[in-house]
Amino acid sequence: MSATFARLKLAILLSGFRGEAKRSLGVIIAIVMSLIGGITGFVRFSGGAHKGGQSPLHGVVIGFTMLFSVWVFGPLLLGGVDDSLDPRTLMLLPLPRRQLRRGLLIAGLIGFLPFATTLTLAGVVVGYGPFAIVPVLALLLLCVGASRLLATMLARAIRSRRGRDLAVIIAALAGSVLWLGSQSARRLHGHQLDVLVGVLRWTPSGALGQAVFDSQQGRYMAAMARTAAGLLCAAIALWAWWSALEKLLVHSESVRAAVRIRGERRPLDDPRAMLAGRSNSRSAVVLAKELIYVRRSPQRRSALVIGTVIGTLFALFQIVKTRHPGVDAVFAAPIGLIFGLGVTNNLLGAEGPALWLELLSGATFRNLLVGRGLAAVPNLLLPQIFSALLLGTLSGAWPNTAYVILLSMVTWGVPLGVGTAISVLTPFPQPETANPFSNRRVAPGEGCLIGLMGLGGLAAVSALLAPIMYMVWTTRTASVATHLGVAAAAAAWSFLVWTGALRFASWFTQGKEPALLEALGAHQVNT
Amino acid sequence: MTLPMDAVCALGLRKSFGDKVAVDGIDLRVRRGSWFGVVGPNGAGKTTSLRMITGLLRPDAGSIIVDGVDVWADPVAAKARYGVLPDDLRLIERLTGREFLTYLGRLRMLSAAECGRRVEELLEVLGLTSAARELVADYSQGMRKKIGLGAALLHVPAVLFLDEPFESVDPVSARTIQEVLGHYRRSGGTVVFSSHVMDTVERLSDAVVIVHQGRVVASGAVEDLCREARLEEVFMRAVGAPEGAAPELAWLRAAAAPATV
Repeated sequence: MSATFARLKLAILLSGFRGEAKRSLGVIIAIVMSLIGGITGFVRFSGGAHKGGQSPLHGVVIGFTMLFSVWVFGPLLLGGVDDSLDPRTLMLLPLPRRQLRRGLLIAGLIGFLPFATTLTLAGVVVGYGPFAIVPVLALLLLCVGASRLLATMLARAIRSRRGRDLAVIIAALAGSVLWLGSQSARRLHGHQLDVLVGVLRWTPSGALGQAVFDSQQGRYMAAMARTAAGLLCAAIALWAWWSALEKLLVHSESVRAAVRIRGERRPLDDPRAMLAGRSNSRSAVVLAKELIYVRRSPQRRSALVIGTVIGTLFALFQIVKTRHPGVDAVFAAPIGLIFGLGVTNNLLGAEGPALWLELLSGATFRNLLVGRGLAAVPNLLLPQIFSALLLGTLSGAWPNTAYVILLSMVTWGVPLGVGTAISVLTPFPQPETANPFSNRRVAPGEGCLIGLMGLGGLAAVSALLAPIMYMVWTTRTASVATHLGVAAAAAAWSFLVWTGALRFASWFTQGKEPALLEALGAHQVNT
Repeated sequence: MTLPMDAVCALGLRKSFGDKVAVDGIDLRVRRGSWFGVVGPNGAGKTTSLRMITGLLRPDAGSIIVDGVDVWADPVAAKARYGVLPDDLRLIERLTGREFLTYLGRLRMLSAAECGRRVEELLEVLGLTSAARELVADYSQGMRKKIGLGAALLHVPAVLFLDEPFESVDPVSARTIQEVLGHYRRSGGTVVFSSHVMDTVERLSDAVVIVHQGRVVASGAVEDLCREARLEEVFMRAVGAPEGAAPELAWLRAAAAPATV
C-alpha cells in the first residue's frame, strides 16, 4: 500500500507534463529549482566541516533551522495543504489508519522540496562524517512531522471563515517574519552570530545541527543526547499530526458549528449607515463598501498591515545598511510605496467572481476602479508615512519629514494611476481564502505575465515620479514656499496621471465586460 | 421582430467555445407577466443562453431585447429592467445580508430611505431578518439563494431570470422563494427560469422551451405540450432519451448478497 501512495504522489507530481505547455513549464521550473537548491546545499555542506573554527557549527545550525522553516512555513505560504495528496480525498477508502498514516508519511517524503532536502542532507553526511546520518534522518522526520502537522491543523481551521481569516493573517505574518529574519541574519557577524546560534541550538532543528557538529568533533555523548531530544520532538510532531489527521477526517463540521454559535452570540457591527449615506455617486458607494472590506477582509487587512510593516522596514534597511542616516535620508521614504503596488495593480481581482453582481447593479468599471482605488490609497501612504517618521526620528530632520509626508499625500495618484491601467490590462482573480488550493489554481501559467506587468508598472511609476523627484531633490534646501509650490505641482501632475489612467481604463473596458468577467473568474458563476 | 407583449425576445442566438457549439440558433419569446420555463439536459445550452440574454456573455450572433431594450446595444438601460439569480451564486461575501442588499440598492441609485425600506421588507419576506447581521459568507445555500433573489428583486425589475432557483435549496426555502415569485408575478412581473425538476416546471410555468444540444427541440404552452403526457415524458421524447437504455451491470447483483465474514 505504501508503494501505491508513492506511485500516486509521483504520478500527480508529474501530471503537469500531460497538461498545457505552461503547466509543463511549471513542472520543469520546479525540477530545475529543486536541483539548483539541492546541489547548492550539497556543495555548501559537503565542504562545511573542513573550514575550521566556528563557521561549520554556524553553518549547520543555521542551515538546519532554515531547512526546517522552509518545510514548516512553505505549505502555509502556498495555501496550507499538500494538494497532491489531500487526506480528505482518501477518507472514504477502507484504509486502516496505520496504512493511511504510513502512506501519507511516504508521500510527504516525495516531491521537489524533499528531493532538494535529501541532496542537501547528503552533503551534510559527506561533510560532517557518517555519524551525522542519525541527526540528519531525525531532522527529515522532524520536518515532515511538523510540516504535515501544521498543514493538517490549517486544513481543519480553514473550514470556518474565522479560521480562514486567521490562516491568511498567520501566513502573511509568517512570510514577513521569514523575510525579515533572512534579511537580518545576513547582516549578522562575529559575536552577534554566536548569540544567534546559541539561541537556535536550543530549538529542535538547531539541536540536531549541533548534534551533527558534535559528532564530527568526536563528542558522541553530547551528539547522542541532542539527537535523542530531536527525535523526541519529531515523534511528538508525528503523533500530533496523526491525532490532528484523525480529527480532520472524523470531526468535519464541528469547527464550523462552533463558529456559527459564536457568531450568533456576538453579532457583527452594522455600518450600513456608510452605504446608506446621501451620496448620489456610485463610486462613493463602492468606496464605502471597500472601506468596510478593508476592516473586515483578512486579505485586505493583512495587505495593509504587512505592507506597512515591511514597507517601513524596507525603507529603513536601504538607509541603515549603507550609512548613518543624514538629514536627506528621509527622502528615501517613498521607497515604501512599492509594497502597496500589489494592491493597486490588481484593483478588480479582489472577489472578482462576484463582480458580475456589481456590474449588473449599474456600477461601471470606472466606478469600481475609483472606489476600489481610493480604498487602496492607505496601502500606498502608510508605508511612506511610517518610513518618513522613523527616518525623521533617526536623522532629526523634522522639516524634511513633514515635507516628505506632504509629498506622499499628494502623489498617490501616480502609483494609483499606473495600477488602474495594469488592473484592466492584466486582470486576475485574487485567491479565495475559502479554497486552500486556490493559490496555485488562480491564473495558471500567467504568473510570468503578471510578474512582468508588475515590474513594468514599477518602472512606469518610477518614470512618472521622476520629474517630481527631480524637482524635490533640487529644491530640498529651498524655502517653505518653494516646497509648497513643488507639492502643488506634484499634486496636479499626480491628479492628471490618475484621471488619465481612469479615462484609459474606461475606454479600454468599453464593450469588454464579458471578457473581463471571464478573466476575473466570474465564468464560475455559471458554466 | 419584437411584439409589444414580449417581455423577452431573443432571436438567432449562437455561441461557440472553440470547436464546441454551445448554442446553435436559439429563438425565445416570453410573454409579459408569464412564467417561462427553460429545460434541457446538462450541457444543453440553457445557462449559456441565459448568460447571453442577461448580458454576461457576448453572443456570436443573434439579437436580444428585454422589455423593449436591446441588451447589447444599451446594456445600462437593459440592466435596469431585469434581475438575475444565477445557479452558482458568487456573492459579495464579507458584507452582512443587510449591507449586501443595501449596497446593491445604492448602486442601483435608490435613495437611502427607499433602499432601507425595501431592504428591511425583503429581509422580512425572505425570512432573513434574524440573519441580517451575519456575513453572507456564513449563509447556508438556501439563505444564499434567498438573498440573491432579494438582490434581483430590489429594483423592481420587469423580468426576472432565474437559473436553477430551487437547486440545493431545502423545501422550506423553496416554498418561500416560490411565494415571493408568486407575489412578483401577480404584480405583473415576468419570470424566466431554468430547472431540472420537471414537476416544478410543469406546475409553475405557463410556457416551456426544451433545449437540447444548443437548439430548441420543443416549445409551447404547458397545457399544449402536456395535453397527452407529463412534461417529463415530453422532455424524454424531445431529447431522444431511450427508456431502459442503461446496460445492466451484472456484478452489481452482488450488492444484495450477504457479506461473507
